[in-house]
Amino acid sequence: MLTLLLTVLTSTWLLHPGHSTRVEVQWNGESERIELAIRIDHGDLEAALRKRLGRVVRIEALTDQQAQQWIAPYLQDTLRLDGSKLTAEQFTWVGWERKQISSWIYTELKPEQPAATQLSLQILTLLEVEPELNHVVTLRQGEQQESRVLSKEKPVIVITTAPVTP
Amino acid sequence: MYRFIATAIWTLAFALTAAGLAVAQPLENSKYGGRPDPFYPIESWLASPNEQRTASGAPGPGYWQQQADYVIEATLDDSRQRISGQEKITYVNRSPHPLHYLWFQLDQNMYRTDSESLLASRAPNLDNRVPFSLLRSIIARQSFPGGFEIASITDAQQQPLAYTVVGTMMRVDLSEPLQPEGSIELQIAFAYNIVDAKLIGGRGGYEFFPGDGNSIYEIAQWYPRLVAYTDYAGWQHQHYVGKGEFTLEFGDFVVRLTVPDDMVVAATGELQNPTEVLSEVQRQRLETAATAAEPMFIVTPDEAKQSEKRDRFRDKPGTKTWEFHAPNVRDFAFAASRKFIWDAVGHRLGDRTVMAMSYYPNEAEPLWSRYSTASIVHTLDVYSRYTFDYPYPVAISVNGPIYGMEYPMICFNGPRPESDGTYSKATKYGLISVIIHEVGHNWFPMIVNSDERQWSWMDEGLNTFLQYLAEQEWETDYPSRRGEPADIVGFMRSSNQRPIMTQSESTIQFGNNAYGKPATALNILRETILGRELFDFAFKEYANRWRFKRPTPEDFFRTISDASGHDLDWFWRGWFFSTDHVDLAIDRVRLYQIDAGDPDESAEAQRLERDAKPQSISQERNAELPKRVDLQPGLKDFYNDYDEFEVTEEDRKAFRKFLDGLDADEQKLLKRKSNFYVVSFRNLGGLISPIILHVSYEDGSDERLVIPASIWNQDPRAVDKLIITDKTIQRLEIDPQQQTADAEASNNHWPPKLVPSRFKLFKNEQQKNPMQKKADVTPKDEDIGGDAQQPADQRGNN
Repeated sequence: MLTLLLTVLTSTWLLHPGHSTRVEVQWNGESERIELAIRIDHGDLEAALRKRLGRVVRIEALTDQQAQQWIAPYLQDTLRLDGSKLTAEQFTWVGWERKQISSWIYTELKPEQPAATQLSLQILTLLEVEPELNHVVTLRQGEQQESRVLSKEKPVIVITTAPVTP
Repeated sequence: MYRFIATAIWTLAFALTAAGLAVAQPLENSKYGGRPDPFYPIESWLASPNEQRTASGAPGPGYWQQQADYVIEATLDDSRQRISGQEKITYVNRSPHPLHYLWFQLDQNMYRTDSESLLASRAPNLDNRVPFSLLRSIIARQSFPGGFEIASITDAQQQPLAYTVVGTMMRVDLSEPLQPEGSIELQIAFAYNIVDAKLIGGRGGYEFFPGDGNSIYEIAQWYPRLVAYTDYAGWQHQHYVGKGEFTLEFGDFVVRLTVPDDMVVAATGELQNPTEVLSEVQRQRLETAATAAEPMFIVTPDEAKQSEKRDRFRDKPGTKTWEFHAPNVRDFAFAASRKFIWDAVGHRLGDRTVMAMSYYPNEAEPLWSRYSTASIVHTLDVYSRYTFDYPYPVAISVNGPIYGMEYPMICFNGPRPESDGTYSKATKYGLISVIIHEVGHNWFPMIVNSDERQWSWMDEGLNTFLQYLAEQEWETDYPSRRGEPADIVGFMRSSNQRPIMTQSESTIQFGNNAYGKPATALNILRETILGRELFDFAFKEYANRWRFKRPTPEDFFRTISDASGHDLDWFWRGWFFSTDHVDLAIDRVRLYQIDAGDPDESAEAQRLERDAKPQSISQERNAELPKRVDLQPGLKDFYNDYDEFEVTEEDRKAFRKFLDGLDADEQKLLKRKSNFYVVSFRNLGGLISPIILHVSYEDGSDERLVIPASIWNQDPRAVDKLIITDKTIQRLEIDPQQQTADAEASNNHWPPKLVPSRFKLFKNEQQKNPMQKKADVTPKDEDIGGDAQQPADQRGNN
């Protein structure tokens, strides 16, 4: 199995790269939720929804209600907290901002155990259609910001939920 | 940082033969915190200038490059998806060195099951599900009989030459050394199985359409190609592993391609025998298209549909041989299919006409007939303006299985509409962008022949930069994906990076590193550091100096500095050799004013300052209490009525005497009422940058100060800047237009300003009612700006 997967990676290297998202994440201590904003190119999102739903979805034609109906479950399925899938109660669709060829999508993620001091967030979004895609994640912790580039090989970022000492 | 330096030295040493690399960095300076000097010249990292490459970045008087001319006869077997052919190569040794052997690239060997590309692959993440499509690809790849089959290699006398295949390269031993200025002819018979590009991937291959039983072939890196032999690296020894594309020698190509007679062929070069392969109608249409105002069909959609309906096995078509000539190109690629619609238009460029042409199946309509050839023409115009006129007779875009790949005069581009003919904005702009990019590669690296197998950024980065310029000239607010500084910030700040100056196969995060970061760096150099006029002159100079030649990174760095008149070592060092990012901060602001020494003015100022000082809570409450000295006035003495700010006649006399000793200029200066602001900046990201400072004054006016990067040359971590103004500064902001890729906006303000997260901004926006949104009124309880004025000497938020 290992050898087989290595072959696939090799072949995908050959294409000109170009697939990435921008993600902004922060822990909200008051609501005890992760606030996550992700900018996804419509082409990538349409490919993922087509694969998931078995039909063509035109992002630029979606109503807000349709966006929530189709995109929210997809994001809920492709995000993990501490390695676990999110239940409907853990995932909140906050809204979206549609731009010309990409959209910012806003969600809140509630951990199962509110007392945890750290949470690992796994972002598998789009990797099933673009295995070479990068998620460029900016993590806000207090006044500090740091960035990580997540990939299929390293899709996890750790978020500190304890108050950050300045 | 030291680890970075080691990497930079290693990667440079890999490519450069110069001996001067041993001294690559000043010794660690314990009296400067062990920190490197970001303004230390990078010359010691670069190859020493010589007869081939001058210190100004231009080709030297002794510049040379090899020449490889090809005559290729090849057959495309549509039933077996196979290429077989014979090539005759004339290789001219223009180097001053005798050569005992020649090296060839055998890129198809990457598809062998024992290829380095496969064996050296790293372990993937196995934690997640593997989709069926990937499984199908995996199985196909495992059973695919790929790689070149070399039937024979002979010299001009038909004598066999010994050869050794080494991975994706092949060494051919010469019976006697090829002397300088000598030439040799040899013939190679070869064949290989064409990869299913949709299934396995690659830079070339075929796409099979089960609906009509036809294929589109996009054939590239398909014949044994002479490896580049250079003054700086000898033979280029980088094997074809995947990411690093290729570099080759320039030469003249004559290629005869035999394909089924109902196929249309698009290729590098000019078609030589249209009367043998095109119909009379097609030839007439081509002639008309050469002077047409808009693209017109050479093969119409209906004709393509008729062609693809033919049963390729039952009808047993014959063959036709298409002959193309392509002088002075570094490679040759082609596409063939009976599914092709073909449109074309002649585009005037100087005194020549370039035929811009597109080939695509009906599945690509109506998107392609509307945008493909128009995108080619747009690219020809914009790129020619920034570099040099496109020198070739044709520029071709082909739709097929490859999403985006470039070869001389021809490129392969993938975006298509839905099966119902509709398409999204993403598809539309994706198509225009990829065509601009791939046609743009004609300049970098097909003509400015950098080594992309070694340095991806030299073609991808420069080309992505020009792509951004071209996109922005397509329409207002074109949704470019790369080029704007704000878009690279997240990557620049992230960990797990390597510098731009990293060998192609070792580059991490290829898209951001080889495309986005260098393109953004050049955009910043153009817009913020040099200005458009200087940059455009220097960039054009680089392109013209090295057109049809082979530049190295130092040729680029040196030419831009040389032609712009700026020492840019700090810029190349920071952006191309380091992984630092830009994060400048306003630390604090101090206000100074001239004290002329007038005792009356001084006393009044001190009195006002004292009176302005707020009382403590105890002082305030004690004010009403009866005081002992008021009840017993005899307790009062000199000190109870003494005015510490009282000015004596002696003080005034002394001041007048001081004034009398000054000349008129000095007296005028002393009376000046200017404010002297000392603004303290910190460099938190490490990358040196000019400081773009927006100053807002109390009277409502504002101005933009551009402080050159050299302000950091004494201390790259912290610096003070004096601003002299007769006005009162109300606010300061660094980089308000996000033109330097500053990674952290929250420390860019004085007084400090809380910059809300994107998430919070969105939520706040959602909480507004429609009237508020229309009036852009923020709810009172959402005052997140924190923009209140604070005292002048208050420290910033760092």
